[in-house]
Amino acid sequence: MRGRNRLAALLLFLGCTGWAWAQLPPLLPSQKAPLSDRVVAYHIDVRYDAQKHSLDAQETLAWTNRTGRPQDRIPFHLYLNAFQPNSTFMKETRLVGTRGTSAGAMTWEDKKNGADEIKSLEVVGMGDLTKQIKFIHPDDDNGDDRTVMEVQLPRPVAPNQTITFKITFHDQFPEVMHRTGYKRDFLLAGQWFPKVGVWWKNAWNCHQFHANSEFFADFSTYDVNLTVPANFNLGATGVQTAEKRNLDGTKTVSFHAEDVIDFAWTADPRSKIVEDSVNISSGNVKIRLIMEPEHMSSVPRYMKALKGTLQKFDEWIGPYPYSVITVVDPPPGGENSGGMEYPTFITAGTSWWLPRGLLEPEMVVEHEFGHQYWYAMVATNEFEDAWLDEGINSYVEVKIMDALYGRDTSALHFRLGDMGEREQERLQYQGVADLDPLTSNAWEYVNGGSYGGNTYGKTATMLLTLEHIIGEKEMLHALHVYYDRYKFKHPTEEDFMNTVNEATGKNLDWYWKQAVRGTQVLDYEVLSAGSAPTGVTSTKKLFPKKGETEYLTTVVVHRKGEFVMPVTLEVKFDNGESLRENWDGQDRWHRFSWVKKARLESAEIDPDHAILLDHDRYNNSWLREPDTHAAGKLAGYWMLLVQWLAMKLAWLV
Amino acid sequence: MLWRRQGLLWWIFLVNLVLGWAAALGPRAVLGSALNGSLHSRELVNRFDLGAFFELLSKPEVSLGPMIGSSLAFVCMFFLFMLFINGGIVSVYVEDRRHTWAEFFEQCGGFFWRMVRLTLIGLVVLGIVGSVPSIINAIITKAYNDSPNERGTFQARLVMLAVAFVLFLIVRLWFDLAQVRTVRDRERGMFLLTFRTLGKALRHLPRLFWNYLFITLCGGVIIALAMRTWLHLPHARFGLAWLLWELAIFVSLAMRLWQKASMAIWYDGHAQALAAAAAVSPSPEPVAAGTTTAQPAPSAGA
Repeated sequence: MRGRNRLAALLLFLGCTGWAWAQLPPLLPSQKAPLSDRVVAYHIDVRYDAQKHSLDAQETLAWTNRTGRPQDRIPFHLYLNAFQPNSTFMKETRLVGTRGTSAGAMTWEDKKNGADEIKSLEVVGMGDLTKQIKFIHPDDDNGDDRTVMEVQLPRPVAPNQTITFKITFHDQFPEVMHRTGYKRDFLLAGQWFPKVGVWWKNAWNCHQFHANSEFFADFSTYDVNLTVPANFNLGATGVQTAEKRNLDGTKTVSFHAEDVIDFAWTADPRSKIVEDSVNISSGNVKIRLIMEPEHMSSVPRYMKALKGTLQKFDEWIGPYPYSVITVVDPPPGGENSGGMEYPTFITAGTSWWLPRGLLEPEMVVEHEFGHQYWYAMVATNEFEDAWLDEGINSYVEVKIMDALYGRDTSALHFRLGDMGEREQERLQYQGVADLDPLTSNAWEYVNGGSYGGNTYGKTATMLLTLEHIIGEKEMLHALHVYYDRYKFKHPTEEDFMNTVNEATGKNLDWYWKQAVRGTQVLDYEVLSAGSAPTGVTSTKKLFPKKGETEYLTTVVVHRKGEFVMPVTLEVKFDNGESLRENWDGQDRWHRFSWVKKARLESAEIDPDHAILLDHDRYNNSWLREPDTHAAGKLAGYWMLLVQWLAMKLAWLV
Repeated sequence: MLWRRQGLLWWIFLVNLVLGWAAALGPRAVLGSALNGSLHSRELVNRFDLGAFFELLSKPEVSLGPMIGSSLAFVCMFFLFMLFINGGIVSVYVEDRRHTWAEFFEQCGGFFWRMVRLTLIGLVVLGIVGSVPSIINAIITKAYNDSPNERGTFQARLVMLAVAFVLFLIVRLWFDLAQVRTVRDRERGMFLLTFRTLGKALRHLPRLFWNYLFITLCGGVIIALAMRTWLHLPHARFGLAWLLWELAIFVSLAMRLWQKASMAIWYDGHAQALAAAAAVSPSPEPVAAGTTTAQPAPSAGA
């Protein structure tokens, strides 16, 4: 009996253990070795006021000095202060525009007000340092900007020593703008807490909040307790570890994340949660969609894109090391919080009427998930090297969207017309090709169009062209090596370019110099072409015979732009013969000639259509017999349009 | 009657076609200079690569501004042409007989300034009516900003469009009736006529509106069929697509003339009925009496 009781107790214990194990979130502290150097450990207790769209929080922040030298000044981001009338962000937005707002269109309204107010700041063992806080402006001389604060410590922190800050702060969220804020009951809380700057390249790197830039932070652990009204659904970076109901009609939900560079969360009473999972080489990854009720028809589209993206990243770049990915679908009016990345937590965007042929939701989900690699793990500086995360991510986006939805139909797929994702990136680049080098600081591009067109469009186009030079396999291998070498680190531009050189065994500095550091435009054209009989008698000239008369064929290829690139010329003759010739592209022009008993039919530079950086592809070819089909078709539709408009206007009579 | 007087329809379609062709000459030359010698242009023939199309539009030599400007001039020319011949068109349908060119243009010239005045008054009325949906749209947009209900907003906009459609159709039939009365009754005071016609149009609104709605829906069905067929045509079969849309334009023009013809028939019948009633009634309706006495040639003896 005793024995049987012991057996029953053992079974009960094992059962309970198994149950408890099943209830454990897939990623808890101490379950695995640190993946990063975990410079900071954040513990934040938040109470959210859903009526005022504000919160009060206590943050305990343990910072370990891994700078290799004593430090007595520590900078912090206070990015919600960007949403104030005279902040640098607002001034830049008025001048050059930003996402969702064109230059000059920003007008101030009280609902745009955001604030991150420090109530008190104490360092354990050093006392209350609230009065030591001062706002600094490392990027400009705007005394009204309060997005970066610096704390002067009474004594330096020794290398590898850890100090603990206790900060009490109050946040006021703006109505959704620039990725963060509320819309009705919905809240997307991004860049919402005091966050330590990054020691990088032997200096503090803590930029102000800019109109055209994203962020930069150190790898950390987060334990965040969010107290919100009990009817709110929550989602956040990391995994949910606990939830308890409070007597005051609120609930407190705890989240834990480790080896991540930021923490964002969302709260919304209307949203619906859809869960699924996908198997990749590192195990099962939980997918959590937080959907607007009216957007439920987009769930299969989000899921297909997300699962396909996870699998392709797993196959090409490396396994996704986290156990969950949360996708937030913003509500109507809250779109400006969509299309943004945070670690293990991304925001998307759709609408109930969106046609299937418009692959915007798929693209956004793919892109933002891609940032888990190019931003969240390979944590480059988005202020100074924006092309490294947005651009590399856009390149991989093209590859994955092509693989999932077809090369010519991965952006738009309608009966009337279609467009591949690579063409979309190329179009972005075309408008700004010579404006700014990729190495510009994000906030120093001439305008928002140049920032977007270069960091996303030009980089993707430049890498697609590079793929043509070094080969697709080699390109993906180079990216894999880059990821493997720099995951959970903060690599620089040189790190990326050197890694590609090394992984491919090729010195591509000539290419980086022009495509990354320069603003040269790549444009080759067929300047002239034709065949003339070689005979001297006028009879032969007048009556040439096919296959008997000998012709001198010449093609002059012209480098119109300053970008020097080797190109291939393909010529086709009227006897069916086809030839390919290479030119190093160094001179301004080059003349090719052939003597054959055949006349030139056509000549084309880049016959594989792989040099996507070529600014004008219409001048890449020459035809002996003009092909009027395209012009005829477009002019025909133009005619129909004019007739239709004329008829409609005449309706007024 | 539309079929009996089909020459009018063919003639108007031909003018529309020629003006469209002339408007497309410039764009064809400009596009041809960029496309005819390029292999890349084939992306626009066998399929329609929107990337290649937008790239084409971004070329400095393919400037849309001048092309649109010159084409709009042709659009306006067609409008002026229709304005000029409107008196003749209505006259043909009112009299329901073949006109010589001289007779037709005499009617055009004779009623031209009255048609211009009616059109101007009609534009003012359409402007006022058109502002109603704009105001509703502004209210919906404001409400949308604070509403999570996307579908509700869409449905509200649909209702707004339906209301706008109904209002525009009523205004159209109202002024078509005024045109018929101008020609049939040789009216001269257009401003006064407009107001008198509004009363008549409203009194007979169900019949007239249904008539116009039916014709409009017939046209809509044919356009929808054309669109559906077009979407299933391969990109390379542009010739067929072009013919299909020309047919759709022809049908749309026919629908518009059908409306005018049906209004002429209705008003003629209505006026005759009133005249007949006046003949047996000891106290004839003043308007009907005036109408009958002002009645010109063919149906005057009815």
